[in-house]
Amino acid sequence: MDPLVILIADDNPTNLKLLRVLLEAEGYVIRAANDGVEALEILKRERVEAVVTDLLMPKLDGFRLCYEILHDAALQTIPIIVYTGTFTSSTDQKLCHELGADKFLRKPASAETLLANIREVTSVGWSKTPIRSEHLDEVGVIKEYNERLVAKLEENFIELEEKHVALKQANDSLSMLTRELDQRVMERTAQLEAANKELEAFSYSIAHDLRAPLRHILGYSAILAESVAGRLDPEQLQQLRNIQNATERMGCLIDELLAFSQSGRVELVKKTLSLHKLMEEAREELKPDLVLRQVDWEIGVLPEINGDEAMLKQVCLNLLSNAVKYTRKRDQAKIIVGGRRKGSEVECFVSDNGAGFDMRYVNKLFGVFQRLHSSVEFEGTGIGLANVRRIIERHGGRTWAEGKVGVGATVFFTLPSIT
Amino acid sequence: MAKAKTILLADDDPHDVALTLRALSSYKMANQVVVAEDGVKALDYLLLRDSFADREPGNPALVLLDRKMPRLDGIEVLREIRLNNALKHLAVVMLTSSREDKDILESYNLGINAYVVKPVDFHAFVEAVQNIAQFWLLLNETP
Repeated sequence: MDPLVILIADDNPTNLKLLRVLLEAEGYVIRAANDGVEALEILKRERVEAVVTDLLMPKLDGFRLCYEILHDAALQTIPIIVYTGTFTSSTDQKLCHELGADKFLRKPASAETLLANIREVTSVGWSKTPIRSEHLDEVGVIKEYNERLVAKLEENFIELEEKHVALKQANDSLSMLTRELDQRVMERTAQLEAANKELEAFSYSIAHDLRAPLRHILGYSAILAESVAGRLDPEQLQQLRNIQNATERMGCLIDELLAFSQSGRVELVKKTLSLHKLMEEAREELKPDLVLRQVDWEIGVLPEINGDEAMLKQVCLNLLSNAVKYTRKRDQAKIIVGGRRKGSEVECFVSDNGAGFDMRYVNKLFGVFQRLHSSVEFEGTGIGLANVRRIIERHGGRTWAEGKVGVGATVFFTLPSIT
Repeated sequence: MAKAKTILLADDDPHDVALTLRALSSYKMANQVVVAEDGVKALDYLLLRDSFADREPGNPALVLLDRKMPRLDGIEVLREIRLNNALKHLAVVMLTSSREDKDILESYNLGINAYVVKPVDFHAFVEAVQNIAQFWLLLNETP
């Protein structure tokens, strides 16, 4: 038996392809049309067993295709299957049947359904229920057709409008939220700037106003000491000396506190730096303190990093100065500086064989003004490591330490790697 | 015979004044130190106004200015001095507690001759004051 020819009409190439593949696999021969005009051309020149047509097509839609087929004596008997995704109401279906469609399928239909319908209308025993064209209420049908088109348009229009309104509302609330957020950011920034300004004024006040009375105390006690030196007994002289020492110490505390507050406020100026060079420079600066001492230095190769030169120099100075200080009681002090790349970080350390510290109190090591040794043993304010931690953290790194009493201490710090 | 050179000391703090005078007194030259308690008094002296209208005319050899003073502060006095034709070549040294960069910059921008931070330690303070006086009164030449 000769294969049956099926005409499929759809303006969507994907739909056409799907149907073609499905039907050709069943042994049908396919003719494809992109619109009603092409469909009619094919029908005029070839014999076709059935038509499967979409409704919404350009140039000549499915309704009108059915109408044309109905009014063509040569084509009237061809079964028509309407396969539509747009005009899917029962009214649409009724109109199609009035126009001569035999089957009405809604997209998406299963392969079985499509094939079953095609098999049915192409089976030997099946014949079209004739609608005599002269019995067709032409005017009524055209009216119906127009109404269907308009109804569809209206439906689409309403849907679009609703979506538009929803979208506009979403946009409006988004704008409002953005404005609120901006407002809040501005307020918060203003608050932070005000707080910063207050802190600056505060620090300035400390610098200027606290130093003056300090100066006076030291001044008068020095003058007094000179004038009464001969008339004071040793204990009284010592008390005077204590006043002077305490005042000097206060001066140091003020200076260090100021430096500490600056390290938190001043903006970082970052550039590529050689950590090795900074350590060497720091070591140079400490040379005068080491005139009478034996220190074995080992400053290894250190990776390059990105950071503020002045601040990181301060870190190096603080760490080396600590190492120097706490190894003071050793005959042969040994200070090792090393570093290596570790993943996305650079990890460095400064290690000494000095007094060390008790690991139980390691958490206090980096606290402001916290000390693990008495100031009689080792002088200092206890702000050096707090400064180191503050600076390193501002650079995005971490600090920690390990130590053992009587053996030594190592301070570690990390900095982000230059990528 | 070296003409007696005057030092104008402008400082509102009586203790700072006392300590500075003491430092200058151990300096072996017959200098006259005039003390002004604030910027207005300092300018009164320099411009021979008000309480200083009847003084012996002539500019001081050195002006020691404190930065922070009531009414007119050190910066404003400096500005006035540099704007005045009769005074603009005066040797002016800021002798102050503040080490803030912005204060130093501001002073230099207005033409300060030197900026010295008062040492907290007394002996260092005495040495600094004597160095300043020695330099500006003995070594430095003025037009």
